[in-house]
Amino acid sequence: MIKTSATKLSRAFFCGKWAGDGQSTQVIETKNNNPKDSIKDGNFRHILMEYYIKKYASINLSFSNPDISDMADNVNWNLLNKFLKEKSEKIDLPVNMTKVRCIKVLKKLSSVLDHINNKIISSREVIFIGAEVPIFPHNVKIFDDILINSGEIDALITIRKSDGSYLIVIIDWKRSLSGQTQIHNNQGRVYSRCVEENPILGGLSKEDSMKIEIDVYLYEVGGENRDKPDYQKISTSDEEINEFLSTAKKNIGSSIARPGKHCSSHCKWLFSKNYCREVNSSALEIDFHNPNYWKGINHRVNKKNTAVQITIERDIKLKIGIKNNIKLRIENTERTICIKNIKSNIELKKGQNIRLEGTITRETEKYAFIDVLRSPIIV
Amino acid sequence: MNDNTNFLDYLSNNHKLPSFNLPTDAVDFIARSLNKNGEEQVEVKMSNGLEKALTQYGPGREIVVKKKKYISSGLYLNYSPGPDPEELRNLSVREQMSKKIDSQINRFEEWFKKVESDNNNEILSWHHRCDQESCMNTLSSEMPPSRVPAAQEDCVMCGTGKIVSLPLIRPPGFAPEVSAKSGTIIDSNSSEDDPARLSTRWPTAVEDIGEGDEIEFGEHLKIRLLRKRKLVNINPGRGDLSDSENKVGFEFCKKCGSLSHDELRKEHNRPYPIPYSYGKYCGINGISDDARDARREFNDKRQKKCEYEEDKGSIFDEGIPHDRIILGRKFTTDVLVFRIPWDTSKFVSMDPDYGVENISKIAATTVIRSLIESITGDDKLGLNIDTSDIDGDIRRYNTGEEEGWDLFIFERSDGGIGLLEALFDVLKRNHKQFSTIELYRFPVLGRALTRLKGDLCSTRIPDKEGNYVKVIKRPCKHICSGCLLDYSTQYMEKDLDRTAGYHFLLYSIFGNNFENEIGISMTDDQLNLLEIIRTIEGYENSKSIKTIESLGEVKSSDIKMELLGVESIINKGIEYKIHSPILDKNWDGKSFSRTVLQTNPMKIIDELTDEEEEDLLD
Repeated sequence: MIKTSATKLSRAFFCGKWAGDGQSTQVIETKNNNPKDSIKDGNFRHILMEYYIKKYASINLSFSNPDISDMADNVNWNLLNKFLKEKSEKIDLPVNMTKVRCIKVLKKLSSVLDHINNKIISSREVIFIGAEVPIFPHNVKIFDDILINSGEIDALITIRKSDGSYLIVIIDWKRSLSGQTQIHNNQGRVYSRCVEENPILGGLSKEDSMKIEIDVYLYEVGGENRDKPDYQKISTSDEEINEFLSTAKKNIGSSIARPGKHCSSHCKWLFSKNYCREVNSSALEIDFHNPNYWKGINHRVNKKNTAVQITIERDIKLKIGIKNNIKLRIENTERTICIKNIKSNIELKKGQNIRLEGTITRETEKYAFIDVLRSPIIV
Repeated sequence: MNDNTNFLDYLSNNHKLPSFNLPTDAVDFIARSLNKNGEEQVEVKMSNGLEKALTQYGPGREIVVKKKKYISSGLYLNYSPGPDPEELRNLSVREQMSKKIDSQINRFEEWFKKVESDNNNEILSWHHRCDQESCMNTLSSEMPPSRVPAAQEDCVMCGTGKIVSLPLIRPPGFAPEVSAKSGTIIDSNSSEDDPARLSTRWPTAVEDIGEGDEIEFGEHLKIRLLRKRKLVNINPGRGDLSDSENKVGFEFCKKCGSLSHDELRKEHNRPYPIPYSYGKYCGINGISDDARDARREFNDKRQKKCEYEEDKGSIFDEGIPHDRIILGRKFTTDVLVFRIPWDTSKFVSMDPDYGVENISKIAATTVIRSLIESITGDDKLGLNIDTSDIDGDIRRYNTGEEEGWDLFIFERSDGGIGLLEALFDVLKRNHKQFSTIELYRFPVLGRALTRLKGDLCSTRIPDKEGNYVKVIKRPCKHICSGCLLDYSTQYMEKDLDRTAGYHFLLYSIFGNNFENEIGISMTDDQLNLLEIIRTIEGYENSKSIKTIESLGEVKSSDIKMELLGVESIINKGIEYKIHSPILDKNWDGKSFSRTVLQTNPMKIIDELTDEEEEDLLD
């Protein structure tokens, strides 16, 4: 019996090495001091949703009464502020969680809940709303010999339909839906199977399991405007879930590396002393050595946080505190990769490969910019 | 004042001397060259106050004198500092000659050494600003980033931006590029570089608002007079301060003072000629072997281009090089600040996504321009303030509890001459008479509101035969020559929007009830919505809800009629409308954003047809 979490299982679908525990590896500390702002911001939005659902929505069984924005009004602000301060001692949250910042974020969350209210709940009878619903201690067996024994579901809504059957809606809050959603889709599928096997997670009994339908959504909670939110409904057909689970099951114990767009610092092997040797520049999401990367119109809007690998063409010393320009000759044209915010000085020789991670912006057909989050290691 | 300060300097620096609004910080643009005999000649010498010189003489700027074009390409010093005597003391005679030669060849080398070591930051100071385009918050410190803790943190204003620190140089003068070999000024037509055109943006930072005399109007408007505040005007080069660091400012050469928007060429001409006669300043006119040898060295070096060296193109702070500078002018003056909060909960974000129009900033910029017009254009104020006397800018504030805009108007002359103080007195005197009923008659605010409302707009619309007829008082779509478009605002036309400005100023007076005051000022938007809605099946019979309020008067030789305003659209009993551009409403399928109407009207059709949404329900 494999005991695992939805996250590990989703990773295993892509790469066995990634899904492994990585305990035998020692990660090289090249990460810039603070956790990425995007992670802190994501945590912030998650706990605001959790606070609202646990304190109001799960009791009132409503997403509109009160509106989540009211949590930062003059009456409730002190309570919320106290909660945030307590939370910030346990998890990484933005430094300045001021009232203004909360109002901005809550405005977006309000539009998300408003959308769920209008388009998913839609005047139907809600009998359960939960936030951060833990899988443990239920230990759900979801497939042959796969047991899920950890993980939490961001939000869970159970609706009683007019015919007496139930719709359980699983929601995963995502800061952005523009990145790699495949892993999130797989996580959602695992949760879907967990709820199907154990409806008690949605406030129902085992006996109700024949009358249950499950929908899974990813909802974008990033941004500050009341725009119509982006969302994605995850397909949860048995066929797709079984296909995913059978591949994941094969990989989960194999430790075989399958590099791809998913390779990032989330994988301990990417920046470890005994780093993953299967990774090469072309396997990653951005390949500076591929002429296609440099083609097309301005990519400034396509800021990406990702890992890259670069083969050095000229000797260069990368120095702290300055913008280092690595020159590559692609299709007889010189391209510049400007690297900023590295953590230590590195001397590089022609032919060496470096692996690093950062926010990458291609500004012109000859110039790309990396704001480094993980300083380069030589591989 | 300490004992070592020159008394006149003290009076001048502290604005105790009358300037009569004349610039006291004039800098030169000097085009020097060598004539056929190798003697130095001044082709052009002109000067201007630094405020104007920053853009008029700034690098890349074309200056035409007697039909000849000159392109400013670097800094200029009238008298270059020589080497430090202490440094020369232990050197041999020949070495001393070389040092002196270098100071004549590299006129800026000693100058940069001096300004970098000056702790008073007179010439070289630091400008710290947030890198988010929507924020642009600036820190008040002029110290290097290593000595400013806030420069190492995320921006406190927007919470997401990083603080970027740039060395700011007060230029001593400007000059064009001179051929090292011939000593002639590089002809702009034969220059290897494309002549760079500068944007005329003038980001102005103001130090923390702090305390000052304050009066309040309506729900949210607070006006404060701040005396003797330090401001800075900046020429950020071809780019904008919000561009990435490698585009802001200029690359520079510490040896010769050359400046370039792009990468400075490894070998470049200097912005000055070096005549042979300058050898006399190097002590090389003797008959000794050393002198002969030094003369050869001098002659050789003066005819060669300046060679860029990496460490001679950076300002260092704790060993960290900063390889681009911006040019600026710090000055002290009186400032009148109009503080208006931005309703974070109900209004669109002050930090829109990349590529999305920043309505908040546009609204604030529009209000400040309309206020400036009201001050300079209203003779009834009796102050005779001219457009050349004052200027304005906007700055965000965020107290943590509230955010908004400080719209500030400042006197352009260093020290200020009391114009804004007089204006503040007028507002103070009239404060008791302020009422929302007589709002449009109140000094400054009334005139600004009238203009923003569209009462002065002048537009043309086609009649039934397709001939264009003039309409008076019909609000224009964006800005027009009747309301805000003139020579002083044409360069920022895209940053202004009459409607957004009007609603923001109304909000400052009426608070959340401002929507009741909007009236028919968005008639065109509602009519555009009607056109779109009618293309949808089932919405063909939609109608506009007209008011009895006049939208304007059509005037031609044979017609004279009133146009009626439209408030919203109705279909099958349901009302649809375009809401104020500053509002950010939850999507309800009835009230739509004007930004969506203008940029992606298909979204409105999609939302009304709602096809994809049906899939969510079973």
